[in-house]
Amino acid sequence: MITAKVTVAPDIRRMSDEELVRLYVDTQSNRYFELLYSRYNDKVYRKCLMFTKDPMKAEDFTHDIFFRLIVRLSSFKEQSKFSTWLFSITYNYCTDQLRAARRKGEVLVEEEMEVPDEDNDSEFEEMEAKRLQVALNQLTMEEQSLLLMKYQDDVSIRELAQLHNLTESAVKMRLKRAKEKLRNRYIETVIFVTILIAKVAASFKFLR
Amino acid sequence: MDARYTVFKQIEPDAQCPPAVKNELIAEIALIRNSLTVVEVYVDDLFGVASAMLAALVSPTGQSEL
Repeated sequence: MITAKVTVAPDIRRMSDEELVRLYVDTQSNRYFELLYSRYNDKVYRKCLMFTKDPMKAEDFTHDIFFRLIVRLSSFKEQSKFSTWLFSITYNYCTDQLRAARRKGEVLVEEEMEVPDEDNDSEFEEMEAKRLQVALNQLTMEEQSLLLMKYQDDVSIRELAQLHNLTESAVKMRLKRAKEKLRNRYIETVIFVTILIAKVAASFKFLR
Repeated sequence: MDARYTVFKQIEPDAQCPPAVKNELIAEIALIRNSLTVVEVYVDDLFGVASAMLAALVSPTGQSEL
């Protein structure tokens, strides 16, 4: 009786990002990179679009970011998730490219303080997306990146600390300050719109 | 994901990356790899020629012909 040993090629679509990186680095086979690309290209493009507000620039940024990724793949040490590392490259690239057009954020020396894990952020639940975007655009690139990585990409405090070479307390403090600034900017946009509506209503009343 | 921060997910645009980006990247990777291969071949050849010339200058007895 003849038995044949059949080797089934592993389905690479089920592989984790980290496994795909290892295989690409070992074999230099494009199919592993192409799968990573297909998993994240839209997400990276959307982040670039959020910062640039220009589809052509966002396309250029996306291309450059993935090119940087290919060059740096062999240096990925798996100290964080691959997605976290990729988003960090994305935010850093966008920040660097757009920094010339914006005022540079202040570099604060953080005190080592005990910061509670979660503030009372219930008002974020009530915020409107459009007004939040307007308020967010008034923050520095670094503040925007930090908030988006934490609350849009679900990156943990520990990973943020590793990426930015900070202590977890320092990351929590920066998040707290960024949120407070965002809250204030959001309230300012709401007040502005309310005053505008009141003035328009008053002028209509006057005209009658 | 904490429900308080859902609004951050909502501000992400609903766009898709143009397909041309992938083709450009693959083409560039191929170009760089091919260029490096050409450089390697020429460098290898160059060293081969140089060592052959040096060997020709040295006589079978081990003495230099210069």
